[in-house]
Parts: sequence; structure tokens; C-alpha cells
Amino acid sequence: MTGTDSREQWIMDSELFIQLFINAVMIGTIYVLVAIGLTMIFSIMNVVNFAHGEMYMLGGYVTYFIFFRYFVQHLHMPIYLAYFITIILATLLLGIFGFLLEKGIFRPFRGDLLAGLMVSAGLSMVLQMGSAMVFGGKDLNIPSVFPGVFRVFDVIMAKDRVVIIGLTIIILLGIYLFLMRTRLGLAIRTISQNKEAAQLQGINFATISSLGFAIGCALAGISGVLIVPTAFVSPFVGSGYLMKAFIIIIVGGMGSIPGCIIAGMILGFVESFGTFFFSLHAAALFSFGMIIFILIIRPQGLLGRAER
Amino acid sequence: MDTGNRTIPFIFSKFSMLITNKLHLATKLRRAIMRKRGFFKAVGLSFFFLIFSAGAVTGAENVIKLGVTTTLSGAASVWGLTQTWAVKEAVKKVNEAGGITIQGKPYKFEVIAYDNKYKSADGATVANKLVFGDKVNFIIATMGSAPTLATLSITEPQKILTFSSAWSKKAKGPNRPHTFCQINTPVEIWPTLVPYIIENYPNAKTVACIAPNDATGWDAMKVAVETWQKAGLKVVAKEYYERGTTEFYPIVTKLKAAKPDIVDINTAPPGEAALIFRGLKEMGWDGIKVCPGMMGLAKFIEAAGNEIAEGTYLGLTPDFTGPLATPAQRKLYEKCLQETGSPLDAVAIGSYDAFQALLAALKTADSLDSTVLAETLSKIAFEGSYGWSVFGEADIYGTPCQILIPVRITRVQKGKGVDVAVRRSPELKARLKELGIKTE
Repeated sequence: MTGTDSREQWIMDSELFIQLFINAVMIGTIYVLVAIGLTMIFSIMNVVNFAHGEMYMLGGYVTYFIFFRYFVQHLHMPIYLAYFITIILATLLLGIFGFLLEKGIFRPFRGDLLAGLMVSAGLSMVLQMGSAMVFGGKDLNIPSVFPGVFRVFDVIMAKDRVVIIGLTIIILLGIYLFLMRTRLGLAIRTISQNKEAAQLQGINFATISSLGFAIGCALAGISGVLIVPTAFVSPFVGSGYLMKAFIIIIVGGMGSIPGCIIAGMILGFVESFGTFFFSLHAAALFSFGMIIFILIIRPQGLLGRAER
Repeated sequence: MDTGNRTIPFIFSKFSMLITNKLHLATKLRRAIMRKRGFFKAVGLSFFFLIFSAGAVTGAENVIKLGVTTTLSGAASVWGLTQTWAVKEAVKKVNEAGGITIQGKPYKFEVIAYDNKYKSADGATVANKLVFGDKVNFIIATMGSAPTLATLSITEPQKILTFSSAWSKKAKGPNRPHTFCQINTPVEIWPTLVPYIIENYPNAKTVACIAPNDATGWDAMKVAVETWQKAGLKVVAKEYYERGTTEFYPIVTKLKAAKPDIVDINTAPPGEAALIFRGLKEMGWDGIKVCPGMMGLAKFIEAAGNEIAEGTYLGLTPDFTGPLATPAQRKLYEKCLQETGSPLDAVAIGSYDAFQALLAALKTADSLDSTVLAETLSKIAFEGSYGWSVFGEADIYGTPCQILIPVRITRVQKGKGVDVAVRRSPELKARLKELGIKTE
């Protein structure tokens, strides 16, 4: 191999490495976006919401029917305006839906891990089957809202994924500011740290629970709106994302938002590099291996608090 | 954590309360029955006569029950919905014309369809329900290799004639004497498509293959790799993915890095195929796109968009409106589109043809016995939507269990599938000649 050949090979390898790195960030961001609502619900209510994937799925259907079929195809609205309105609409609809679900179904099981888990698993099936009956079992695709790619040398970033990264950063910043700078955020943090002490300070657990569940569902709905144009929506699409979200919240630490972000990125890296250098199945194996490894060395997850 | 410690006694207490309430209710009910024994006797007798009379009414019309085990949800539902429609459409025509007479008894057909979710476990559940619950006479349509193999493990011991659309070789042959394949499979498709691609793209030297990780994908992948290699191409990547995957970027990066001239996506359903090609396009790959075993062309074009779908080659999406289509196919296509909103595909029309084959066998054998009908099917010709056809390829599978219909190669041109080549089986011509049937 000549000097020029080896330099070209090095450039190619570097570009490939950067591409895999960027893929990892893009995949990780998507997973963080889905998992963040789940971890928030857990941190407040101590409920592992098995129906979280279905909130994502409903966000996807809002995108398909309201954004794509109604706004774009029927009303011929400008696509970016329609998309922006859909994000707001999905946030509100899923937030209200989450609020009603918490009040109507989850209220008796607040703080009860096992019962909440069973109820949410049942709700997940009801929503899946209900969606299959109402929307049909077909996969529904939406054309990309931000088609095309950004190209730097041979490294490629799809525009729609760059938008997802950007919006996810904005959402995470918003959540951070909400939790750290508002009285309501302070109440949520207090509840998640010590429910009894928070109630003694006059914080209404019932209200915070409903609000937390609504925010969690709204976040899942937003993730549906953002991700579905890069994928598709079907009644059962939420299950795959739920599994990834579980990996993330277990590895990151149940209820820890920074842990969720770190674990999401780790999962993105495992999938991107694991698939490339081994296979898709090896990457899945590594993901679950990672859970086992982290649970052995740190049972509470990377940034989770140990139970006493 | 103490949550579990509180939850388990809570569940137990609720459960015991429920049981106590139920027992209390049962005691109350028993006392009520004792008090109103005469009334309940009357109700019981009424029920008995109602059931008896219902039996007498249904007994007047003999019914041949046809089971359909297909995919009515998930990525492959686009195939299952039209498949069920095609069977019902074929049956409707015959029933409206008065049904069929076997050994002097008039019969009508009834179709019972369930969702096998393209999974082995659900395939077995559905087969059990059809065979032992509904007591179907025949399985007229199946979908997917994995659920079909699960179905056959129940239908073969019960000697139930089954028409499958499974691609697995395990679903055919001497060990499956009651099973017939109603659709072109990899063994028929790849050897037709690969030479065509090579003839038209002589500079293509490498191919990357990606398939769903299930029995259908494994079998098709084996044939695909063998066929490409036999044709002199180098297989630079061979990947599997799980059905239902929505994130293809890692795998697409790997495919692109292998620098293939051709990407063969095997049996991926339309939505997933669209995501793979979209990802490849975004990654800057612009080679020859081949989908030999994909059905649901319209869905693929809609999902991928015209630009990405353009130029894709397919082996299982004949254009039922084009010049090579028969009048029967054109009529069926239009009706299917009108009634289901989905275009007719090869699996659906295969199931329509399977019913024509069954009808011909029933008329010829004048019997409902599956073993007799299976023997008859291997000998007769029947008129399906493609014209006269037979079951053959005993040299490949060990028994004449494969439907012999033309393989059409389709190319996406300006948002539409156009048939660009067709291959007819030499065995079909010879068999029809033997049977004295003249064809064009």
C-alpha cells in the first residue's frame, strides 16, 4: 500500500467513524426523546407505564391523520406551519389524554409499582387493539417533512434527523428549566425525592401526579410527531420503542432524567457501532448485556438513587 | 423497596373478596333456581328446541368451511387484507351461482379468516382454532412461512388439504402430501430476475442482501445468495433485521460501506423496504434496487416516494392492469381496489387461484376427502386468473405441489409498476399439452 493509499484509507476510515458517531447521536436522541416521558412518570408516581409506547403511537396517528391527511393533503397548508401546529396539537391532546388517564385509571395505583405496572400493561393492550380496530393494522408512512441531507465531505446527516436532534435539545432544555426554575418543577422534584416530606410541606401529590403523567404522555406524543416522518406508524409500533425506553431508564437509573440522556446515548452508540462491526442482533445482545452488567455493578442504574 | 410488600397482600385481599362475593352470588342463584324450578325447566326446554330447530335449518344447506390464516395486522397486513378479500370474492361468485354438488349433495362455501400476525405461535393458535374449533374442511390460504409451518404441523396430521403461500421448502414435498403452494416462490423468482438484471447491468459486480429475520427471510436469503453467486456476482453483505424495525440507519450504514452495485432487499414488506431505500438514498447510495419478494407495490411507492422508488425491480408484483394481465385479473384488480382501497397483489390472486384449483379438484374427484383431492390436484389442470395452470415441479420439491404460473419482472417507472419481462414454465406447457389443453 502506498502512502497516498494509506492516507485515503485513513480519511475513509475517519469519515466512516464520524458517520457512525453521528448515527449514534441521531439514534440516541430518538431513544432519549421516547424515554424521557417514561422516566418522568416513574420519578413522580413510581409507576412503570407500559402504555408509554402507545402514547408514542397515538402521537404518530395524530401526525398521520391531522398533519398529513388533513392539514397537508386536505387543507394544503404550508408544510412547516402545519407541522408546527401538529406538534402543539399533539402535545395538548396527549397531555389531556394522559391527565384523564391518570385521574380515571391510575389514581388508585399512585406510588404502587406492581399494581401500576399491571394496569398500564392492560391499558397498553387496550390501546393497541383499539387502534387496530379504529385505524386498521396497516403501517402508515408519512413523507419526510424535511427531506434531503446535509453533507460534510462524505459524512451525511439527514435533515429530518437533525431537526429531531435540535428539537430534542430544546425540549430537554425546556424540561430542565421547568424543573429547576419553576415552583411546579420544584414541587415535582420534591415529590420524586420524598413523597411524604413533600406532602407535609403542603404539596398536593394528586395534582402533581396528574400533571406529571400528562407531561410524560405529552412528551411521548411529541416524540411520535417527530419520529414518525422518519419511520411509520402502526398500532404495534410503540412496543419496540418501549423496550428501548426500558433499557434506557434501567441503565440510566429509574427516574433520573440526566441518567436517561446518558443511557439513551450509550444505547445509540451500542446500536450504531455494534451493528456496523458485528450485526443488528449482536447490537441487541450488547444492549441487554449492558443492562445485566450495569445492574450487577450498580443496581440503581448509572445515576439512580439507591433504595434503603 | 416496600412497594411489593404492600401490593401483594392488597391483590390477595381483593382476590379473596372477589371469590367470597362470587360464592355468595352462586348460593343466591342456586336458591332462586330451586324456587323457580318450573320456570327454568321451561327456559331450558325452549333452548333445547331452539338449538334443535336451528340445527334442522342449517342441516338443509351443507357447508364447506374454508379456513384462512393470514396477517391482518402489522407490517404485512397489506397482504392479508387483500388475500382474505380475494378468497371471499372467489367464494361469493360460486355461492351466488348455486354452490357445488358433491355426491349428489348441494354445498355452499363459507370463509373463516383469522389473524396469524405473521408469527409462528399465532399461526399455531389460529390453526388449532380453525381445525378443532371451527372444523374447517380445507385451509384455502395461509400467509408467511413461520405461521404456515406451524399450521402444517396441525393440518397435515389431520389430513386437511392446505393451500399455502409459504416460501419455505419445508412447507412442501413428500412430507407434506396435503399441502400445495399457490404462489411463485424464491426458487421461481430469483432465477428469473437475476439473469435479467445482469443482462441489463453488465457492469454490476457486487450485491448486498438484506432480509427479515424469520423463516421466510432465511429461505429466500439462501436462494438469493446462491443465485447471485451462481451468476458470478460477489455478495458483499448479508444482513437480517427484525420485522417491525423502524430504525434502519445502523444497518443501512453497514450496507453502504460494503459498496454494493445492487441491493437486494429480499422479502421486506413495503413500509420497511421504503425505509431501507430511503436510508440508503440519504447515505448517498444510488445503485440498482431489487425487491424480488416484495408485494404491495403501491404502498411501497407511496411510502418511499416516486424519486426513491423509481427504477426498483420487483419479482412478485405483476401489473394486473398492464398488457400482460388477463381480463379476469383486470376485473379482479379493479373490484379489489374499489372494495378494499388496496390494489390486488400476487398472494391475493394466488389465493383466488387456489380456490379455482380446489373447485376443479372437488368437481373432478366428487369427494370431500383431502387425500383424494390432493391426488387429483397433482394430475388435473384448472383455469385460474393467469389462464390454465397445473401443480408441478416434482423434480425440485419431490411432489407436484407448486403452482405453475408465469414470473413477471416489474420495474417502477414514473410512480407505476410496469412489467418488463415474463418467464413461463416449460413444464406447464408440456403438462397442458399432455392434458390436451390448447393455450396461446
